[in-house]
Amino acid sequence: MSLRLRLAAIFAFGSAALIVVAGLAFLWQLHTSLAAALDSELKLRTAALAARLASGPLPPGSPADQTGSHTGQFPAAEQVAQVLTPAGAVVYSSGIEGTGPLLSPAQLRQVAGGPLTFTAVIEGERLRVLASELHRRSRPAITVVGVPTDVADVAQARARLALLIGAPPVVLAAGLGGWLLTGAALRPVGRMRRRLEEITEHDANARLPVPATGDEIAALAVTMNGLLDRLARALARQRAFTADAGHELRTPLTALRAELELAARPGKSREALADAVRAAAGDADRLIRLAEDLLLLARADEGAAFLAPERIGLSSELHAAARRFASTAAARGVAISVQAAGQLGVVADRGRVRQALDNLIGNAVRHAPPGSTVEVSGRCAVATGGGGGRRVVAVEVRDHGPGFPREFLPRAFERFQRADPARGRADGGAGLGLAIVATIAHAHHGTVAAGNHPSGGARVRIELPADPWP
Amino acid sequence: MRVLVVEDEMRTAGLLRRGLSEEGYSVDVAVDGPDAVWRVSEFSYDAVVLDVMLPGCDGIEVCRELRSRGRWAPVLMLTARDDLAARVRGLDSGADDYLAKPFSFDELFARLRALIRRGAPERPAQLRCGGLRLDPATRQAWRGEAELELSPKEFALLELFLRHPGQVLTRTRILEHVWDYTYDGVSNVVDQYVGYLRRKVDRPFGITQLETVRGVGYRLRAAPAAAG
Repeated sequence: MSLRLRLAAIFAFGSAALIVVAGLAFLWQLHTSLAAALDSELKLRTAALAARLASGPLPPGSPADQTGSHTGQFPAAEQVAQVLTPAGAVVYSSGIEGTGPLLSPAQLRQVAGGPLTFTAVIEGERLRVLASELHRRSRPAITVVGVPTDVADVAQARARLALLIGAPPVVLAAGLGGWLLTGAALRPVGRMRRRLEEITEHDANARLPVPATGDEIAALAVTMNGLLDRLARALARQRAFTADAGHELRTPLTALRAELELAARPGKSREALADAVRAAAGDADRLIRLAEDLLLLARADEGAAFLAPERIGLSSELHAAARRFASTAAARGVAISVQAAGQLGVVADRGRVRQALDNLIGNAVRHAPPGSTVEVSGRCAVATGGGGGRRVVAVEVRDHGPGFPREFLPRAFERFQRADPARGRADGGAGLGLAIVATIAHAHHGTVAAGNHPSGGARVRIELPADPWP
Repeated sequence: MRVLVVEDEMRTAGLLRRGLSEEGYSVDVAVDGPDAVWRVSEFSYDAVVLDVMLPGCDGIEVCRELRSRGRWAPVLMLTARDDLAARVRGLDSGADDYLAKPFSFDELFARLRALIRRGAPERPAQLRCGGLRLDPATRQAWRGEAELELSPKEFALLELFLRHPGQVLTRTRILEHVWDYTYDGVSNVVDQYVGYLRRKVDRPFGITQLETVRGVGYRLRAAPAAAG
């Protein structure tokens, strides 16, 4: 059932219920006020009859030839009146043909207890009757006066008829109005839905038109456009990543293929072939590293739990990482110093932490001038920048090389970004090292920052949450 | 045959040098754009193998720079990006051929042979003649700095004239090149369109460059004459 149909039905049922309640209340009010008017008339007439009885004997009862027009106040001519003895004998009767008493014996007994008002059908006419006991000097009597209720009955019947005829069209109109109004209100929603249906993953710039109404529909369109913006950005990032990854993979593949193709040409010496195999193996290594890096980034992007955290001491990891680079550093005439205060316990994936440290120390050793020292330090600290006083383990790697180019710093941790394109490619780096460091740090709910030391040289700082139960 | 390899990735550059040398080319390697432009300006190469991704200025800028300096050595572009937009941009910048990495040496050699066979005539990406300039890639034409609003037929006609500056083009030749084989319209359509073209190319500037050679056809003069 559509929202439109439901709302129209609610409108119709609601108005029907309202009309029924209001109609009933109106009819009840009409009935009571008409009854009250009749009753006060009866009281007046009773009083008049009593007065006449007191003044002398009543004239003989008039026959019922006085029935006529019922308009206006009840004319005296058609008044129904009887005077009864307490036993029920008719003393005086007017306005009716029969001579029997208007009260039954039971009603006579009731009148003894107080005035009695009831409605009776007498000679085919509905009458409102008031019977009351009259205390006369000589002997008691019972006056019975009646007025026809037909005027009141007609009024009530008309009111009921008016309600019965008038209500259905009003209910229908309410339902139709609800249907039309809801349709008008929902039309922009329908337009929006059709527009959204047309948008495919290929038109990343498609947006919903925002109506200038400033209402909920406009707000929905704005929200939807925000969502489309975010999706388009994510898609663009994904496409750029795929394109960059393809480019980076092609570079070693080109070299590998060219190397093998050249080696396959006739007339190669044994040494040349051995060189070619070594070079091809180097290309294969590069491809493997690149594939692993890309896989790590892709897994982190998926948000899959790619970490296997355990409690490790970063202090020993820093020393181990420095040892891994000892020979490379020595070959370049670079020293590595490690300063670690205490255990530096964290809960982290040992393999990933090693990878991050290797990337940082490898970068530093590569850029450090001969004779300089790469400084690796680790200590407990309080989180810098919005960490809310969290306890962290901070690791900093600093070299005394040229530092990061200023324009590179804002995108240092973006993928496929090299501080120096030419040098980076000569070194075989794909520009993923720092991006991977950042990904690993963020996956551990840590932070990472890159900058230049005031006295020269690049420095990168990672903060990982400290082990809460060291 | 002397070939310049422009490639910043040392390993690929080394392999290209080795492969091309083994094929009998003499090879120079440039590692960035300015180096490449300088070498092509100083020495005469029979072909240039140009990587698109270069540090600093990319291969497309290098190619444009070479052409603007009047260096017409055939350029074979190499790229690790094989998307359509990059290929189109590369060829429109004045490159002669395009090869995606990873490539096969056999294909590279075959393409180089074909390029060298064609020689190095002047073949600018933008055509110029006496104040007129036309870019077939963007389909724009200018008189001086003023851009000309041309219909497709007028554009094709102007391009034909600019490709043969100073030559007399007969009506038949124009009809053959600008209208297709099935054209079966009025015989004076060439005169009609040359008239339209003059109204846009010459008359508003008060000059006569597109002139009638009585009894033969039309000619685009190398230098425009004042209208008279």
